[in-house]
Amino acid sequence: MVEFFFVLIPEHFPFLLEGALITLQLSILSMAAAVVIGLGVALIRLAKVPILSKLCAAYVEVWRDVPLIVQLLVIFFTLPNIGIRLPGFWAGVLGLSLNIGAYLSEVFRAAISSIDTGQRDAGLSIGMSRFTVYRRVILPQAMRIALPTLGGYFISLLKDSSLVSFIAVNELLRNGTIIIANTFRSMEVYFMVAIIYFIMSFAAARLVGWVEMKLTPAYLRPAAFDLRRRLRLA
Amino acid sequence: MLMTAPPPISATGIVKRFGAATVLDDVSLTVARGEVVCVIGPSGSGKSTLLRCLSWLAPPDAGRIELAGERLGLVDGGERLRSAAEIRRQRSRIGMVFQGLNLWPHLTAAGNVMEGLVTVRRMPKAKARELALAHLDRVGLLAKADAYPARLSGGQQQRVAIARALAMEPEILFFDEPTSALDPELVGEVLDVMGALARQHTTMVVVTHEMSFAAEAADRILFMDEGRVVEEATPASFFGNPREERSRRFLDRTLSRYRLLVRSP
Repeated sequence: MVEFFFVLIPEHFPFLLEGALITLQLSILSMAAAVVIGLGVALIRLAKVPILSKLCAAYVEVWRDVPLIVQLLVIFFTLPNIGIRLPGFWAGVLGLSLNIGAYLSEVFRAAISSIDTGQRDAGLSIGMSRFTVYRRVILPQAMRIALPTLGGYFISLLKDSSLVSFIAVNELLRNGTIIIANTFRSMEVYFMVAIIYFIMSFAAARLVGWVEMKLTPAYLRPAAFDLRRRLRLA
Repeated sequence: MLMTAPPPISATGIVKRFGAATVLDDVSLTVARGEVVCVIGPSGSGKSTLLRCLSWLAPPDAGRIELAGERLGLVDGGERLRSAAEIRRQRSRIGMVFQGLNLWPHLTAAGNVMEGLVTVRRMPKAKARELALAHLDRVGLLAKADAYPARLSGGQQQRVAIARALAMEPEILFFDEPTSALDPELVGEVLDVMGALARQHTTMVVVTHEMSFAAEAADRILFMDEGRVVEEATPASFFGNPREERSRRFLDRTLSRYRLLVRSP
């Protein structure tokens, strides 16, 4: 116990934190790319573009039906054969964002479909273009609906990014296994890794909750919220 | 040289099908400037579809619509569709108030009224807001300008929707059963606003089940059944002495409820 806190933690924590930083970078970059992919795929599928929509549907189906770890391995070991050399980190970002993007496209599709068609008609009837209707009427409402689910996906991405250790990216889990290979202290080191994942996920969950509350529009918020804000401003 | 201005809306031979069902079968309607036409008839008679055709939200399968003398939706002469930008320009000249409460919930009352002015008319925000407030005042809701729709009653929401349509200064205003989704006690305030518009000679086509409104405000009644115009008459002659057997049956059934109410002591 004493050794764990006063010897092992000071010795190995800095290296693990380096890995945690990579984990965060992987997750944030992949999430940002996944949002772009997901929204794009959702819009294309909803627009029913002749061939493109079918291709997007196939992408979603395939990526949801193959385990993430297999997708990462396929990307990492296949791309070099067709002449694309990606460092492990970027192969990881590519794999994670394609995977989460497939799921997010379904989240966006559901959120957009949940907006009543009357909202669109009202926009079209005053002369808005379909693009303006999306930008000003549908997406502002749909994004707020999708937000809590998006937050949930981010938190699970933070943890699933540990699979990228299989393709030699020095993120948190891999740094842990490197230490173990040298010290044979599996129990203690895995415990430290677990604690760091927990802290990151816990913080991310609180952050997501806070953003959600901030972005919950006044029209959905109970009156008490407004009152509190007014008192603070006064 | 004397020229009469073309009517705001003139439609001839409108046909609309959904699959095998013919929802509108050769419907014609011309509305003169300043005229109020009320369209009544049983549910499923094609009244709402008629408005959706006339505003090009549901383009008709056949027939000809003219918006102030200009062919609506199609390039005149051919049957070629107008460009998207042209159709948008034409739609912006037709005001529409829907049956459902279709305000945009993420925008305030003023935001709802301003939106078209800013995104379609490209008006500066300050000027759009000024105009929006004037139109909200017209429907008696200036005090609610910064309220979100969720904080407004159904009646107030419909009045904002009317202000939103009016702000675009349309050639003609369409109302698609604007009170049928409202609590009975909220119907009056919406009909009052519409009555005031009628008295100011706003060109309007109103699909409604409110017979007393139709009798008072309309210059002309269009009675539809099964996708056809059955009878077209002044309110006095339609309600007093309907020509068609079908109209008589409809009125008997609809008005008998009112008579019962009046007769009870």
